[in-house]
Amino acid sequence: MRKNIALMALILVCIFSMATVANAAVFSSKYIQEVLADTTVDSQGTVNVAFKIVGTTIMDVIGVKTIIVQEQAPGSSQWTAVATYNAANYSNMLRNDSSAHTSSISYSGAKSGYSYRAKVYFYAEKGGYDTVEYIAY
Amino acid sequence: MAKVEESGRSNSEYSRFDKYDTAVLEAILQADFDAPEAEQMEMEQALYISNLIAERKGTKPKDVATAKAEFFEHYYPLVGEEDTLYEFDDDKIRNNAVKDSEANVSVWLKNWRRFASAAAVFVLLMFSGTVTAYALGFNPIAAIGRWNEEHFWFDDTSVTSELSDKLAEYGYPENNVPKCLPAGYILKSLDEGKNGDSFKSVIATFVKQTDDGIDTLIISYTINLGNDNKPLYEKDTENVVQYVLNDKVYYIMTNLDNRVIAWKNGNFEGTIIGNFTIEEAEKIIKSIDGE
Repeated sequence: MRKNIALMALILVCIFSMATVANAAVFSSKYIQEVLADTTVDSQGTVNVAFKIVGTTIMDVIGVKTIIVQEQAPGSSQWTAVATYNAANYSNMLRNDSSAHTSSISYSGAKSGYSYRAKVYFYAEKGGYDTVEYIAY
Repeated sequence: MAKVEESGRSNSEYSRFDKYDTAVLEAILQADFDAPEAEQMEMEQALYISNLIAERKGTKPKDVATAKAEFFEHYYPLVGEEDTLYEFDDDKIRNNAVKDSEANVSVWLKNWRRFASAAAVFVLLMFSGTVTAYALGFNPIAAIGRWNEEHFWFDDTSVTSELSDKLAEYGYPENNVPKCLPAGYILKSLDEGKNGDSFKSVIATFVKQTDDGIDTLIISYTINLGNDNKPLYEKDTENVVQYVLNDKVYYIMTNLDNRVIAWKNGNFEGTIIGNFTIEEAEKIIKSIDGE
């Protein structure tokens, strides 16, 4: 019985220490310090997604890799992707040799009564790299 | 800023002094030297008078042999009596080699030397103060060169003054900007961005050369214009320390190798990111509120 208790205790210690390591890996970043994004819809039916990222130091590349604009029909709980913006096609989304980057993209075609949000995938690279996902309403 | 040009003797503006006796001119120069700085005459005028006196006394450029002979006759004996050429005790000077006719010049020189020595002491005090500040590990001021078409000069300025100016443009008070950073940092870049009706941002990047490369210190501000989303700051599992100063709460946390200071003031959020100690973080915070 004592052996079982000791074994159980050992297993719990192992699990908790692994959880600590996992949290550290998730919540700290060697490359990214601060992220912020915001989605607004103007009266012309344009969805603007603004973003800001600050690195931990001067990065080789910093900014946003991908932005997915999603819409939600009135009364629905489902979010549907309506546009995807990739840094490969939009040069203002990434910046070289900088500690920070702020910019925005626009999506024309918002429908009246619909809600919009954006999934923003922040990115910073210097030797290695890191990404952070941010959902901006 | 006064500009001295070699136009003195030919300047008709001052030709009225040509009619004055030499003794009167010397008295004018002496009075001018003793006067407060604000009441002193223009430098061109003083040069004109001194050139006039020199001409009347026949003080002209001498050849090397003559100058050397005069040096050994008038100045070299002072060395033997353990006096120096720049001895401030005018009695000794008078008693040695300076002739009565040159007494006014010696008084004039003495005043200049006193002024020069006082200036030297002042400069030494300034430099020792700066050295002390650097020894404490902070750089409260830096000299920045400024110039126009005619002149160059140094202005003392805080290393973060450009950042303060940028925030002032946005209408935000200066007490969100640290006046001091750990020693050695200089401003590398200042970025600003306004993203529609969402937020404004100002980001200053400071760098410091070290043996291992370059250290970076980043000051980032977010000015919320009404969006509901919040800036998210990366941190590790170390405890967050709260530091309260003048009713403002500053949060000090770590993100692996970096330490982060974060605070919020209305719709204004600030963060400072860098590889600094907790003690340096406290000094930075104190300098934000002007302590």
